Amino acid sequence: MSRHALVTGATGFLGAWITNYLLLSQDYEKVTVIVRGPSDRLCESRMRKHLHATKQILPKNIYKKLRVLRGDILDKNIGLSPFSIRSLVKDMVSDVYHSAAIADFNLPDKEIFPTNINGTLNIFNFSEYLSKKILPQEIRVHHISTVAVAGNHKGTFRENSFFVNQKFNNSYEKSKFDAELIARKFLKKGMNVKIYRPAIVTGESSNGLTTNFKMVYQPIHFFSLNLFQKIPAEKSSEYSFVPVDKAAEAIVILSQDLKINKTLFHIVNPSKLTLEKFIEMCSNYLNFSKPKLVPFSKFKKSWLSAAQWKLIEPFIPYFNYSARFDASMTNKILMEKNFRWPNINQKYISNILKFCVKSGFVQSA
Amino acid sequence: MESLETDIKKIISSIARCRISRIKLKSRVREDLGIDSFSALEILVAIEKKFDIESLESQLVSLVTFEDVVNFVRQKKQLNLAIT
Repeated sequence: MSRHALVTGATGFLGAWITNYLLLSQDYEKVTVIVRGPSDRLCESRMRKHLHATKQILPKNIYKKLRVLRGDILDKNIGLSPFSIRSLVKDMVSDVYHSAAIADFNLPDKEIFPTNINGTLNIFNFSEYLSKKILPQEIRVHHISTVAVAGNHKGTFRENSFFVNQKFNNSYEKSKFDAELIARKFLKKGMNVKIYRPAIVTGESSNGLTTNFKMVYQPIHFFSLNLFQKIPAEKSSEYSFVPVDKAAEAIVILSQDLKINKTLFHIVNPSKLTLEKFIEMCSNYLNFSKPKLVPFSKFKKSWLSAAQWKLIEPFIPYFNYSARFDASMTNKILMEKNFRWPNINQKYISNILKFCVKSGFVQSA
Repeated sequence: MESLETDIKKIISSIARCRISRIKLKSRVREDLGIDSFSALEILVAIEKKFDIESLESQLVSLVTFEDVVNFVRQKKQLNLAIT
């Protein structure tokens, strides 16, 4: 059966790669992306610019499958014109991939909630509306969540875990939890919903290329400037880095198989890295002095200035991280489909850092 | 005093990746130079290290323009001199 995908967040870091894989997929006859912008022409060129960042895998004729529609998930009917909506109904959208979100640990509620929560609600309402128009064909909604919905949970967080009395470290975590709550409500109402929770999304597996220098990249930046001699951190804090191309590939592989009787997928690389090792690798490559990692309970407030505290505060929960994400079920399915996660080793981290230097994000000493 | 301004401009320019020529006395750090809160804090910490001064939390919000930052560093340096 030929399918038609509708994608939000297609100009985003992960969304652009998901769009790439959908365009390459034989299963999809058409891929429509919703892009924000003042005019159709600018939306089109913005989308092409983002796809160009990863064009090495895209044959030129693939663009025939791509259609760019101007819209905004913050608006009713996701900002689409009546003509655009009619065309989506006519072309029988089969899958909606919702990857639009703001991912930033430093922003307040008012800057994150509208996009991450209201935008998600708008997308699900719109998908429900489309579904009714397209009946009897069922629309599947693929919601891109994050492992960050686990908040401050300690210990193992399973694929079927959700509310475990966790508290949230920042507005981003809370907003993604609330967005997943919306996805679950529609699932309960009978909609075909799949939820994917990627771990820490990092640069491309082969060359470290990224279009997003937030989250894990921000500590790399302040470490490279030697702004801290000591930080409140547990050296055994462990992370799963999922290179953006591999995360997108995994999501598209899982989403294409209509037989998988499973709703929730942890997009988690089993190759883990401790904070101590990560800082050591960064320090080796960028040649900065490694900050001493002191457990939070032993860390003295007076060791840092007010500005240093304010700078490091959003990252402290992640420097003292003890959640583990069980992805055994998802990784078993991916293995069966010949998908392999890359090893997160010095070579990969060096590629990430090489790109950071090349793009001017950090300077090598 | 010109060298103090130049030193601060260099720090801002290298962290926030903006051209030194764009930084004027009355430039607002956020609005005119496009520096987000994360980079602004990095700049402040780098300034603290460079000039061996320390800011109080209450002072962080009052640094709106480049001139505010320069005056803040100047005052802190004078205070340090007076104490020693």
